[in-house]
Amino acid sequence: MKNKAQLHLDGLKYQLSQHFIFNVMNTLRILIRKEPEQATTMLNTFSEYLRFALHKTTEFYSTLENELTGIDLFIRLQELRFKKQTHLVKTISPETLCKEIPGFILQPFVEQLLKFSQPEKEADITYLNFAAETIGSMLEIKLSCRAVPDKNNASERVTFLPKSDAEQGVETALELCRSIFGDKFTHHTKHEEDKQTITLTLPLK
Amino acid sequence: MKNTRLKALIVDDEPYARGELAEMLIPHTNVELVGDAGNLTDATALIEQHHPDVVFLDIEMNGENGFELLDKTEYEFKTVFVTAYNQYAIRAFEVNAIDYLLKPVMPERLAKTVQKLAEQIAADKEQESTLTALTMDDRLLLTLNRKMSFIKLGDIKCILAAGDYSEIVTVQNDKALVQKKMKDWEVQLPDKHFQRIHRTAIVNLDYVDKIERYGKENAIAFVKGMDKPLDISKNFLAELKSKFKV
Repeated sequence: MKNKAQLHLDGLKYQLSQHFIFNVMNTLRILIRKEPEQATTMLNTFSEYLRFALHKTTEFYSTLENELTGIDLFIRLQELRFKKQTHLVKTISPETLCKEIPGFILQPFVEQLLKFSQPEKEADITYLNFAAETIGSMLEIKLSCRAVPDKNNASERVTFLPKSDAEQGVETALELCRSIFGDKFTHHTKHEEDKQTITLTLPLK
Repeated sequence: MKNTRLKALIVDDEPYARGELAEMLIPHTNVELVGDAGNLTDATALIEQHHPDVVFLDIEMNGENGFELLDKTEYEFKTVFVTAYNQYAIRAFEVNAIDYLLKPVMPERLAKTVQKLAEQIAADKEQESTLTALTMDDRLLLTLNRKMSFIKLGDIKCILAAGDYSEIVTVQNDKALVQKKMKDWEVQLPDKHFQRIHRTAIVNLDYVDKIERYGKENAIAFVKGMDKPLDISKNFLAELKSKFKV
């Protein structure tokens, strides 16, 4: 019998895949005909991503290093889909890299952040900053990028819309963390003029 | 049926998907692609510029949702949603999308959509050509409170959009749902008295108490006996101003 947290994690993995996988498949189909070399690159990356995702299904915890590998692959696939450059800038010490967190909880936040991300003004590159730090018995993770204002809570948002995959993923990830860590887990999103930062704090395993 | 060439616009944040659909539309000689856009701002500008008959619209785009496009422009067009996943299908048909295509789009499926579009647009145009202008003394036979009644056009306070239908509100605050689109009403109503103020509303100016501005470009109209004011959109506010030479 699976416990509640494991069920949340399964849900998270399931939610992650749907829209994203169909979109990747569609781009692949187009590339195979038009740009076969790019298609090969994308197919390889997609295989790596699936191997990463499916291989981890039985393991609940994963090192930050592992999770970053998955995020890297996810970003590379998005780059190929949108013909846009995105750099993941990591600020993390080797000791923190081997700390363990529940697998897959970071990717929905990355996906959500990328949705609103903007490239730097001077160059056509989007920089996604990932910083993780061990503070006593806690792990603090900060994700940030230059972003347009998130209209998710604005009054102009069309009502009655089903949640997007990214929104659902974030919700499930938050639910999962709360069910494991209780009050010790915190989540904060900060919107500055043209920057968005997501901060997650969770107890070390 | 008369041959109608359809002006089409593609809105999708993925350049490959836009290119693919554009190519797939080439064999359809009754479709003229007037442009493509990767975000809603560009899409709105292209709609205002080209007045397309149909927009092929992706739903989940970077930081935006395709449904929002329907609120960004006053111009009416048919919508075909094109998306990778069917979680939005119900919502799509609630906003009167003509079709919902799943990626990857198959040529045979697209052909059916184009045929459906052509038939519906031709039927709309045919219906439009049969519409006759109404005067304030003309009477309409409406079902009000389950009874058929003749209502003088001058006794209609406003007409509100309800999908492919419209809701008539009379001076007595009675309401009737009729199967007529807002743009058909626009063709028939005397423009000296009736004014479209929003994608969703036409008002009888004789019953407008006042108009209040809010923000830089927005305004609301207070109609006699109505609980809530009606929104006036930017474009129609400009029309109102020029009509009354304000």
